[in-house]
Amino acid sequence: MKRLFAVALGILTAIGGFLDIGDLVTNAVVGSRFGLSLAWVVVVGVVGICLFAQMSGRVAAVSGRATFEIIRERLGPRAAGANLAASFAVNLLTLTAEVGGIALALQLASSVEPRLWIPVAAFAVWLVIWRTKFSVMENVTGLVGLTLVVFAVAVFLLGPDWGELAQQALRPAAPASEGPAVYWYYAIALFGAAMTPYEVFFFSSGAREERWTRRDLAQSRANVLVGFPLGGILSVAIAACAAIVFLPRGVEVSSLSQIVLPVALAGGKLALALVIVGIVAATFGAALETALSSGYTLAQYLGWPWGKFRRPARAARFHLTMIVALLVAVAVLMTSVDPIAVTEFSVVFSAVALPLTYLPILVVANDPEYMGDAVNGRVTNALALVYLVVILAASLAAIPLMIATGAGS
Amino acid sequence: MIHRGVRATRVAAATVLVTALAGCSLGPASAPDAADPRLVDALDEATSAVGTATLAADLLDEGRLTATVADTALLDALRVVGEADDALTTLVPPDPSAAQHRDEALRAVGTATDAVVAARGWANGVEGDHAVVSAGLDGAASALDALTTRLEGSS
Repeated sequence: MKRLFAVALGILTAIGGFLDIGDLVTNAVVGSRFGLSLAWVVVVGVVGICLFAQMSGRVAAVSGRATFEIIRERLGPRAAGANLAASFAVNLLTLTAEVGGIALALQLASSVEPRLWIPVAAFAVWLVIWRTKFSVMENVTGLVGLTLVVFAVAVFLLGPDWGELAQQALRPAAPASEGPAVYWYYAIALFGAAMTPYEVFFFSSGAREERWTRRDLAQSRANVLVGFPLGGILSVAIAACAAIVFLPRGVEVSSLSQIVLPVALAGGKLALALVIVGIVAATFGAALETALSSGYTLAQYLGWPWGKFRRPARAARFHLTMIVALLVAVAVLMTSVDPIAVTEFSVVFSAVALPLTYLPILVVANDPEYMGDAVNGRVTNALALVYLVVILAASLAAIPLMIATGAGS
Repeated sequence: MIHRGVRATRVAAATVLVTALAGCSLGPASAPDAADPRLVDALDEATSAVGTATLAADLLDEGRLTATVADTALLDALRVVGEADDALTTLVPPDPSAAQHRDEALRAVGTATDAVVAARGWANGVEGDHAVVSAGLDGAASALDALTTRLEGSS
């Protein structure tokens, strides 16, 4: 019974913790402009993150090392250093977007301007990291984030033309009003939103935080293979809500306040309250993960003691890194930069940086010296190689498409 | 062999450059009666803002939205319509016909701005009622739609 409860909790946490500000914004923007014609990218992205998270979790559990410890060992300090610089920068951009997302969500609940919420949000993130146990932190935000299931409920309550939605989803082509370059730009953005590098840093380091061993691999597999796809369904639900309400009206999503309007249309103030709570939880949870990832990556590369399982005094530089990262995020946001714009850039640059973490994990997952008999099987490797090609293609195309389309405008 | 390779690279680069410059010479400046796509983009932005404002106002009137969220949505819509206005005011039309199109677009976006401002005033309990606000937003949307259709038809 206890085991079943732990498995259920893990899956529910994975569902609720799947979405972050990148998924919320990107799926809503895409739904309002392309309908469900990019839903296939969410499927591709979810399968990819399942594969990636499953590999990195297995590597951490079997080898006893987290991502950047392995990257440094395997690639050597120089190559790993370049990898670190790029991954850390993208992670910092994502952290900035998440803290901004918390502030925007709190504005919806309070009418208080986001710039006033930004330092409060960052302080709250730091305080939770400082004082709260890892498992409590992960489970609470994941479970509260489950309220975002209201998007899926809203799709039904809106009474859409299911035939039209199915046609959009099954016809993966740019609508007449949008060009192919913009279509593929947003395909990469959606892919980047589903496969953000911080998820893997957090997942593998979290495996060390919770002292996973081989016995925990089954549960990790259940969390990932059940939780993430169900979380992916919520992503498609967000796009569907935007497609049903905004696409016919010629409204293009560019703010968080627009994202909640379809939910209010479907379910009134109760649904609105649930979605705001869910967005706060999702962005807060993601801010915790990205802040921790900034500490994990730097500390693991430089060989500093790291982890919440250590008292802060014993991992001072790990905690200092996170404080500095949060301060940088606050400083950037206080320049009045639009957090939605930061989010849109962060998901694209996530796609650019993805090969830097994917390739080392793939290499180590096949290395018997680290993995013993737990190396990738043939099916996993076949899928992993397909994804390597997809990830490399997305990474190479992202910036040229960003330039050519004016960042999707 | 190396010299041939270098020469081929130079020819290819020159070809790309000429093609790119030729591409620059095409477009609105070389087709005076065609509407500048930037005008249509700005009108689309304003249309999107008016659509959001209309939805937010309707939901607030029906009691399905809180005043806080409605105000935030309307403020965001004002920001978008402001960006559309900025895009138009900074546009330098290449000829009198384009200037006329630009002025019409500015008037339509100005009407949209007034309608969204009025909606926000009503949402904050300052003035007006939903019927008047709704009529204003519908009027702005119709004006934007009519102008967009006319400009797209001329390009």
